[in-house]
Amino acid sequence: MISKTLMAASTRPIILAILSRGKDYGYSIIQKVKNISGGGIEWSDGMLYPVLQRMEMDRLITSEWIAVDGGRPRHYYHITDLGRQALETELSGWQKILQAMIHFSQPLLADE
Amino acid sequence: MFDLEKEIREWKKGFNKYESFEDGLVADMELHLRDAFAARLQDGLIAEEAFHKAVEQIGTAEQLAAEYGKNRELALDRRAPWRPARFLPALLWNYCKTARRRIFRHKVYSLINIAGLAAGMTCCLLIILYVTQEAGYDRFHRKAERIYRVILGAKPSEVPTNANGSMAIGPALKRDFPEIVEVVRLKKTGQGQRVFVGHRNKKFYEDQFFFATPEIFSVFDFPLLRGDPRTALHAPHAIVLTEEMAQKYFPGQDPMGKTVLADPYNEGKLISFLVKGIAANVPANSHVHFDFLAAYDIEAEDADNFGAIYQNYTYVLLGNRREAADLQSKLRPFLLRHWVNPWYDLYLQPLLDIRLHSHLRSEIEVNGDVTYILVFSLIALFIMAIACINYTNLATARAIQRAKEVAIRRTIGASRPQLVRQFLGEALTVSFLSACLAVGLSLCVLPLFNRLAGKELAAASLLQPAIGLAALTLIIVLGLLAGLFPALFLSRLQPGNPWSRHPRSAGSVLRKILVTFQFSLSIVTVAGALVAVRQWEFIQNKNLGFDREGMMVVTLNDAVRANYDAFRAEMLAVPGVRSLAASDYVPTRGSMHWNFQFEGNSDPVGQVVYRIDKDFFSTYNLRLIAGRPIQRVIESPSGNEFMISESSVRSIGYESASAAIGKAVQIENVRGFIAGVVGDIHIYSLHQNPYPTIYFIRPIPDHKYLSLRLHPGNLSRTMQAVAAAWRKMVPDYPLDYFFLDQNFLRLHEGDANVSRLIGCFSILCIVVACLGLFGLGSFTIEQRTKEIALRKVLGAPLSGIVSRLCREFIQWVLLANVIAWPAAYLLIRRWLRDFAYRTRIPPGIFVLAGLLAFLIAWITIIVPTWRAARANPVDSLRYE
Repeated sequence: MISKTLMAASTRPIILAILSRGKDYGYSIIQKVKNISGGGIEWSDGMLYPVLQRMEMDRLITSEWIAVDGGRPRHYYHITDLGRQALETELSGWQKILQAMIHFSQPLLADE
Repeated sequence: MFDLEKEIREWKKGFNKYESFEDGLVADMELHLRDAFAARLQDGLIAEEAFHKAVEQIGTAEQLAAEYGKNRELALDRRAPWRPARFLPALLWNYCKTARRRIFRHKVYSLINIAGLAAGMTCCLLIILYVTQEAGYDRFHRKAERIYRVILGAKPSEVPTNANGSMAIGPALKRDFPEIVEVVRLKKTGQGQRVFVGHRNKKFYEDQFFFATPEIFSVFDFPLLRGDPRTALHAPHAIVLTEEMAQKYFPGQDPMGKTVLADPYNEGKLISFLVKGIAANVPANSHVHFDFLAAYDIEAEDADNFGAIYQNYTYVLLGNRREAADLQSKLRPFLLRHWVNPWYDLYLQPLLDIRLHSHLRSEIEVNGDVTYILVFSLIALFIMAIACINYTNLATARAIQRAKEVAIRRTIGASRPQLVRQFLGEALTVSFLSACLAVGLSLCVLPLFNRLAGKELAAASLLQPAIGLAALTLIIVLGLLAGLFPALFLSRLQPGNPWSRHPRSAGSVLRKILVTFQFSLSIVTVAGALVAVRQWEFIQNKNLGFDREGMMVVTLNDAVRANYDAFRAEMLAVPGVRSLAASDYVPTRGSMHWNFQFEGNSDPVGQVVYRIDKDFFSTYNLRLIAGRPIQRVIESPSGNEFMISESSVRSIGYESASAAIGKAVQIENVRGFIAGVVGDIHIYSLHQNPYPTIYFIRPIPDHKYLSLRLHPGNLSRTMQAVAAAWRKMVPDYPLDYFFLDQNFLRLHEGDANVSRLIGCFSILCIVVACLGLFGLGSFTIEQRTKEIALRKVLGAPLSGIVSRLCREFIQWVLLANVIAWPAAYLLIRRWLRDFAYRTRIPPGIFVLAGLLAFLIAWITIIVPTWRAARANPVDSLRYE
């Protein structure tokens, strides 16, 4: 079970990472996260949108309404250059943390 | 059957109440919901279940609103330094600018709105002042809630009948009941009788001369400016003057320790009173206004006689007002302890109830009536309602002008609550401007209002905190009432909604209903005013049972009584004096009540007593119904003659006036018979039925008044001659007189004030309603300029165009009568119920009121209509 704090901390980098692969919309982002994590990461659907709005206010992403195939317009999000920079910074930070965690979680070798 | 679109619409409504949700955000959520729903359907769930699961998955609107709310706060923090400080709502200055622009760009409509609301608020403020003063009578006494007046109920009445009572009651109550902390006795020497007061060359007859026990200063809050309240009224012949009287009789001097002469018993004997205190002038909102307080004569004749009822008023101060009910239950046994076979009961009347709820015999002053408070409050509500409806009508009618603004605001992200706030803010701004105008108007019209209402409200009373609070409440309530519907209506306009291109049709039914309602209120008020005027005329012309025209009444004193025959001859010698008569009382100047034993009735029957001379019936022109006039003076114990009134015949229980003739009468040890029956006379106001009255002849020492029937021609010369004859007989005393018809009208001053005020308010109602009709009509005609032009071009006659335009409004004014007439009838009937004698309510009154309203409305609407109909069609069509 992933803690709320960890879930909250990881939300923005995951969204940035998904959007770095191309524009996407809210429902699709949630489904991708669920599928990739095998159901291990389940975001509250409605709570995604305030986060997206906040990221847009921080200028990490932009959005536009695009009508697809004459159907209802969808609200697509794109990553900005500032977002890419933020993603790099986040990934670098997460890698350092992961390395430290892997290191400290290995059993200590007994003195022989 | 599950309807997805309907369910989604209902679900979206849940977001409306949260400010955080802009339209775009809700659209996002809707798309997500649809995707989640589609996914659940693919999983095999039925539509309804899939929908509910999808809704659960998204989360509640409240939780999402909280998250979006945090983002909004963050956004607000990120302002440029030159933007307004964060404690103000973000768009406040924008709203203020918009409101200001609208007010100045559309001056006529703004003026109509502001003037209408200002008129309504002015009325409200003045009526609040009036009601506050009326309801605040006697509240300046700190112990007011514990002070009670002891009043009588003369049998066979089961309810209080008299405000006055015996001098013996007060001291006995204090002795017998420990819960009574203090007793105050107040006495006037005669109801309505004026007292001669003099100091050196200052000689006047004074209305407000009272005797009082010293406790008056400890129970009531009548502050002494000079003198010791504990001792000012202790010594015999001590007197306290008010500041005003001190200035009148001792201008520029210190009255303390000096003497004034007074003849309080009207005996022609001047008593020297020593000034031992100066009291502050009694405030207007007191049920008693004294100018002189003399030390109460506790040794006076009849001081211990429970049966001797004079103009004596007893007040008790209780330790706790909760003791009043218990004390009331003990008053009957108390009376029986002190008096065998009492012919009255005692009641406790709260001091604070006297002004608005007490209309007993022998009141110290004419009191107000709670009915008037209700009538004026209702009128204020009517006028406010009409003003609010004006605003609502104009605002919704002019919605087309705001459609683009609303569309732009919504497109750039304004939420509906924001728009509602904006329009409510505009309404509150107009309301605030109206309030400022209303305060100025109130100050200007206050003198006129005082004259109409018979009040002396000071301009400074408009500055009281309570009035300020009332004004603030009015601003908010009126602003909200007037602005709420237009705010909700305008904020509902959707960008791109084809309907919004034709908003003329939107809300038009509501506007017509509101116009109808406005004019209904106005017609009710006009009908009320017409009946009030009719009732006032009825009062002025009502047959009182005696001829009141040209009746001058002179107050006698012992000096005149001692030389009465010579005085009478002098008066009869004055040309212009047709006849005269002496009596102890005259109509409108008090009465005496005794219990008589009548043949055929085992119980004594209370009667108003008039001790008269032989000329009374002819001078007053009383109508003889049965028997003959009385001629003999009552001087022996038996064989005396009495005359009774029609009401007496009924109160005693005789079948008819003729049946009463010859019946025996007895009072104490004086016996006689009924010689004649005369018609009833009204001795008090027409709010009361005539009292059963008994007349008998007594010699002149018993008489207080001389009634002179004057010839109507050259009244002033006659009065001068009467005054000269008086001076010849009584050089030391100025002539004290009054006219009976004026006195009678004075009893109905309150009714006269009410009819005048209702008349003015009804005019105001119509004016405000017409203001609104003018604004609405002008605007509507403005919108139909092209239509009018086209009709003219196609050959429609001018009269046809005008009548077509007028009809749209006038038909609703005519319909207003249907609602107004029954409502007016019920309200008028309720008001007239307080009069024992009342005018008829002819159907013509309602027709007249309706016609007046129709005529005024027609005149209001014909001007813009005619102007529009006469306009050159080229100018109108060229605009296209």
